[in-house]
Amino acid sequence: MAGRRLGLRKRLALNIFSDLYRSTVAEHRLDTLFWECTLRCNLSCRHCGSDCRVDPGVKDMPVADFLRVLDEEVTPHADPSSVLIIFSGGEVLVRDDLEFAGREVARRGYPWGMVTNGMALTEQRLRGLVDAGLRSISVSLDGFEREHNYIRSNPLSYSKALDAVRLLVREPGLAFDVVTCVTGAMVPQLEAFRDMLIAEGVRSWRLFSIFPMGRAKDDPTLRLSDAQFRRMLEFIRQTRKEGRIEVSYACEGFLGGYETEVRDHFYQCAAGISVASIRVDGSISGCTSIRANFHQGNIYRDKFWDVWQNRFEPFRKRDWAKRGECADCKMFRYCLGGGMHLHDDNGDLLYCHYKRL
Amino acid sequence: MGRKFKLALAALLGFSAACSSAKHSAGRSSGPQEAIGVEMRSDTTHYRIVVMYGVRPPRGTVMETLPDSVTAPTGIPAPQAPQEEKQAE
Repeated sequence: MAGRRLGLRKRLALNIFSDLYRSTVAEHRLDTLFWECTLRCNLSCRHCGSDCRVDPGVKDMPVADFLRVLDEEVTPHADPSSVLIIFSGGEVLVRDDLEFAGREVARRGYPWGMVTNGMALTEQRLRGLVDAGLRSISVSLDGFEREHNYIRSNPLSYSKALDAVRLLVREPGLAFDVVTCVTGAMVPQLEAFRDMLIAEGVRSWRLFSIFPMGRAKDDPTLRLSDAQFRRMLEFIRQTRKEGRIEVSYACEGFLGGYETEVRDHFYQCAAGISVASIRVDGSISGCTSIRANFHQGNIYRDKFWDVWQNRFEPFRKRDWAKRGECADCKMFRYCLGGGMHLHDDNGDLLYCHYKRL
Repeated sequence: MGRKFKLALAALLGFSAACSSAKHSAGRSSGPQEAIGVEMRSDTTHYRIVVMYGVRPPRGTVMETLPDSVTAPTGIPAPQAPQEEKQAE
């Protein structure tokens, strides 16, 4: 097992990476822009980090407001073809103007993608989305029927998600992957689940684990024990060696000896470095899962590009995170306090991946 | 230590790919590819991190170009004309 231990070769490479990464931060070239277009959702999942629901009490952002930001604030400064727009929710398919939004985004030269739970993805809807320029899509599938339906709190959610997967594997022009939130009940079944995905024709698979946020923070049954967490990482490492399916752990968390063995790259939090989001209320942030105390502005008050260029200091200078359990950690130079989404309203770290190993 | 030297050292250690996400500051090399209504650039030195709630980078496949005319609900701004010069970042 890799565990926490970093070999000399990997430590040297991490030092080099950390040096190189500083210039990436200084450049902060925007390459991914989330648009949280709705907080409405057709499910009410137990682990939802956004606490989404059928009626969240928050209005969807009008398409025109987002397009105005693209036209006035992004297109004049960045090559649209190099900025991936990701429609995010909520469940984006509850918006019946999604195809229009996608078409307008694509017409402006931006590639776009979306994440879905698959509940509303019919063949006809998919055709409309592809015609509107959809380039990449991820479907959430959190395990076999029992586990998935439990997490999603809906008896039809597994069959609907699997139907969506079966539609999407037949679309060679789309980048597509399955995203799985691994819970304790799924850990012993990972091998069987992987084999099922391969049999269904899935080529890419991303796994992540629960972090204590939104509804998930109140449900300890969803979290992995330290042993289960290590078991999952070992599974990913072994599956990558076998090479039958592209598999990786999510971007979050420094993983010590598992670095580069469960992901293609060294750990980094891209929020505010190359990734920005426009939240449903217009707030400007890094990733959509980051708490409101880290919002950097609002498109209804501020100029997005000005905010991207001149604010985001907490994202780009992470010295503030060297406190609490991070204060004396020798790995801080590599992890910089972990993902921005793992910090609470006071900025304290909620969850350290490294210390789970 | 120079940037190129560091990248070479990382490659020597067998971690060239792992450092690829930090390479893009070194410069861009691109070749345009037709994609779905979008001219995608195959940027060989830029590695996009797949964010946890994000999607995989699109493939550079050839797809049909989107039509210019779409039915817009009222109040939708028109796309800007291509600019002669991009404003300095």
